Amino acid sequence: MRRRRSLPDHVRRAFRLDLGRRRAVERELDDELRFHLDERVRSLVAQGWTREHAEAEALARFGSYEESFIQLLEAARERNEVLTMFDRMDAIRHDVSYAARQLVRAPALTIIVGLTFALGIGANATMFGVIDRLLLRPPVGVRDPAHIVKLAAGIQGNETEQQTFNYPVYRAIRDRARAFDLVVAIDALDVPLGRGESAEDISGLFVSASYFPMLGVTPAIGRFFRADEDVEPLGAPVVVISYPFWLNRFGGETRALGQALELGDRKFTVIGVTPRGFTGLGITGPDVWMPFTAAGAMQGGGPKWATAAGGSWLTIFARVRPEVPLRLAADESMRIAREAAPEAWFTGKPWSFTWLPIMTTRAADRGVSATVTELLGGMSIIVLLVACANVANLLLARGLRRRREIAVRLALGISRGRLITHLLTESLLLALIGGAAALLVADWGGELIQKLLFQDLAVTGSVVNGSVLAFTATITVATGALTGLLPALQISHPELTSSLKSGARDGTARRSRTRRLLLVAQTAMAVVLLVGAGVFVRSLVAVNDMPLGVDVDRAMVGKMNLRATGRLASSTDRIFEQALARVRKVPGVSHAAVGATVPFGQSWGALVLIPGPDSVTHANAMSNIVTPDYFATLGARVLSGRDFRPSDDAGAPRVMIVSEIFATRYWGKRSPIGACLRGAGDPDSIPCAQVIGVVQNIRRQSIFEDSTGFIYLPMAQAGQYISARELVARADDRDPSRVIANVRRAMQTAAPNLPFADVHLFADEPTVRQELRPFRLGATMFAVFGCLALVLAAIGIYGVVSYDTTQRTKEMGVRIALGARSRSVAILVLREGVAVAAAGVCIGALIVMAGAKFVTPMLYETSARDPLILGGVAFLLVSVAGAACLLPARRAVQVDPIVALREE
Amino acid sequence: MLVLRALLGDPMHGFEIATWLATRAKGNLAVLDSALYQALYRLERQRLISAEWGTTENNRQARYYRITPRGRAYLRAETASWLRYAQTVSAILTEPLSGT
Repeated sequence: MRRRRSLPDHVRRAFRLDLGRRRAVERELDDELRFHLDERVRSLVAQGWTREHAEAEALARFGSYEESFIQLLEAARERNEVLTMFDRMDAIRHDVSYAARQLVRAPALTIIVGLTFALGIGANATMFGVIDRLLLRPPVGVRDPAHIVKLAAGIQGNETEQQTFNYPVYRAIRDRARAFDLVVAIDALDVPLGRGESAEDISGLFVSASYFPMLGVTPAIGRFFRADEDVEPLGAPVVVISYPFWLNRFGGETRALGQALELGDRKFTVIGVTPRGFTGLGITGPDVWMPFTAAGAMQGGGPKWATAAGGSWLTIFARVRPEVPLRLAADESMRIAREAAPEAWFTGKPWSFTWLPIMTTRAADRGVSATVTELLGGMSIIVLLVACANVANLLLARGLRRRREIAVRLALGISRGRLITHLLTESLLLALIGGAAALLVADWGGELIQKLLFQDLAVTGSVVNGSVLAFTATITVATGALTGLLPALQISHPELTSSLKSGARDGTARRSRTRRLLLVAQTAMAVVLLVGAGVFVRSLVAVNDMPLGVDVDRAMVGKMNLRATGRLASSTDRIFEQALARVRKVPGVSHAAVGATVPFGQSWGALVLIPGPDSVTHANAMSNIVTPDYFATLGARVLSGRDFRPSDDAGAPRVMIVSEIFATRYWGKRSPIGACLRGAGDPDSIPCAQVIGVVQNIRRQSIFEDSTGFIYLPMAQAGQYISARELVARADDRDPSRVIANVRRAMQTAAPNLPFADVHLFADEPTVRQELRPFRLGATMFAVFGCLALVLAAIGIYGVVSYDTTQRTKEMGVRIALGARSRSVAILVLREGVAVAAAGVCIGALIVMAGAKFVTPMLYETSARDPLILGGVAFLLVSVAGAACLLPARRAVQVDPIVALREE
Repeated sequence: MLVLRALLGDPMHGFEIATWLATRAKGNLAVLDSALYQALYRLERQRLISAEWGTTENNRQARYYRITPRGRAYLRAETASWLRYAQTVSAILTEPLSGT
């Protein structure tokens, strides 16, 4: 039986696709059955049957034809579907294993590309994780967050300047405003838990009873506050604890309910636990929630918290009725608040209220950090593009080396589409390897970023989660496709075949141009990132160089919330005297002092009367009451006159020190020393105090504020005017972190049963951290990304130049043979890389110029167009490009003309 | 199973298989031709056999079936288990009645 093998079935199937698959199956079946019946008839006729009988018999043996045909058609269709699927899977498996073999064959390239992808994708996954966590995610467990709004007040041009209010304002809006379903007051405070050595501070949130109903959460166990537990003047001592606090303190056991926690001066009964992951409206949640009115002595608003309408210390949230426009709600609230609190700071002035939807302010609440984080997100995409350009370049270079192989395959009749599929599979596989490694990078990088820059946001766990995984998978596939497509399209170009057959190398120049363009783009992006790093570092340096009046890295503050535990002022003073004496003896402490207030904390205003030659000037200033050595402890210089001495006591003549800005404001260039001022407390009734010194300006509450005038009075003479006390100490040259622990112990044991003593460097004050964070974040991340881009660009330049040099071996050989000096050959090679870098620098500089206006608001006393930084970066890139060309240049110089010529 | 056995040799088209079976069975297995094709398509779907179009000696197009490696393995396993089954059943059936 001779027969000619015909096309394989799946090819036929493929070809018949055009006819319509269903019709094709039907025709095929018909052909097969018709053939069968014909054969049967033929064989019967051969056995001596007549033609009519044979035909009838054939049909009879087949079984009812019409019916069977339909059944068989069904079976055939099903069969074809299954087989087509298997064919496709086979093709994919084949492509993947082919690609894998190719990658294994070039391990160096695979590793470099894998690493490049890992870094590029990893940077993105990390930033996505951070951004997702900080900015994108709505608060956990909160029902319908879109209608929750926060009250802000401001004047024209800065409508949201002030976001804290007072209790009378809250009460009036709660009772009378009709725009809201619920109105909520919130005050966040650190709360002393327990006493003595085991005491600690935990974070507390005082909330009105309407808080949990507004958020729409249900407790994990127990219950939330009832309205009758939040009543003035003193609410019920009940507390709701957070899920993590429940786990840590009570092991997650139900018996936690009904237990007592000694918070401040009262014992609070645990009544409920918030659901897992719930953090309220902030990014990090407190440990405990307490009824607003239950605070007692801990109350942030001071003893007159319920009635004092002058100050501002609590925030007001509300759930607005869906049909009420926010503008109307704000006007209504303003009217009500003005009636209820005529003495408030916003009455009688051009202040207006605004209700801010929390979903839009959540990001803004993180302030500049959020903006910088977003910016870094953008930067990480640039890094990814650089990585893509680099990989595309490498693949392109490799593709060129594989020209012959590809030409052979094209000649063997492989379709262009199939070839592209092959090459794409390779790059996708590489991207997948990179993507997997990227997750490791993200896990590690996310932890690093958190540790370095968001330490105060106690977010635990890896940044890698479901959405980060999805994001990584998406960009992995996108990068794989992006980097594979360009080389695949270029290499599989049909012209290639002819150009290769002739053995000529004329295809090189054009492809090299694409590669150079990629390099120029890469260099430009590296310039942008490095300039970013430069300006942020410069800002950070500028900020660090700012004279704060506080040496934030050596001076520490010790806080102890004695008022919250209900102690009287006199005993507070005694405890702080004790603590000061003990702290002074701690090894590593060079100075220590006590002040009524410290920088970046609370501050007290005072009216000061300055007697002039003709009249008395009424001056506003901030006042502080300090022990001797306070200025030396902080690191502030006494500019003229002297510091307080222990001899400036109650029996001595009254003295005062003023700050530099205060002195200049009221005395100009003259010295204020000797002037006798009245201030602090009641200026009319106390004797005047003589100015004995002028001290450098010390920050009040922010690194970036304009200095405010301060007057300082000695503790021994004026201690009674402000009852608050904080301890300050200064570490000598030793590691401050060790000193801190000892200072803490000394303070904690100054008297029995003290609440938690919180000691930390001024650099770790939340305000300082938050204010420095954008610059730290920007400087660190831009530097990392910039170096990454620089390394990638260097690798890219090296790759292209070294490849081109190899291609031009013959040309070099001829030049050398013709007597070119090695220097000129080397310059020829160097010029190539440097030209690419220079072009990249120019384009990068243009981008920097154009983009500067977005970055400048985030900088401190630095221009994003800083010519010095731009110049430095340009120099750096060109030198790196030059360095990357050195090796190829050396190789070019060493070309043996005879060998090079013989090769052709 | 019998179809697989038939295809152990050269590839065959449907009619050849039918004839092969009829010859071996000597008329003891009456199978409708349509049922044979049902069986063939099912085996093909299970990838125990594969098919491709070829030309007969009479120069006609016919669909030729061949056994796949998977099919061979399947046949080996099934034959063994069938033999075990048949032996057991026949041993029981042919066992002389005891006690009479």
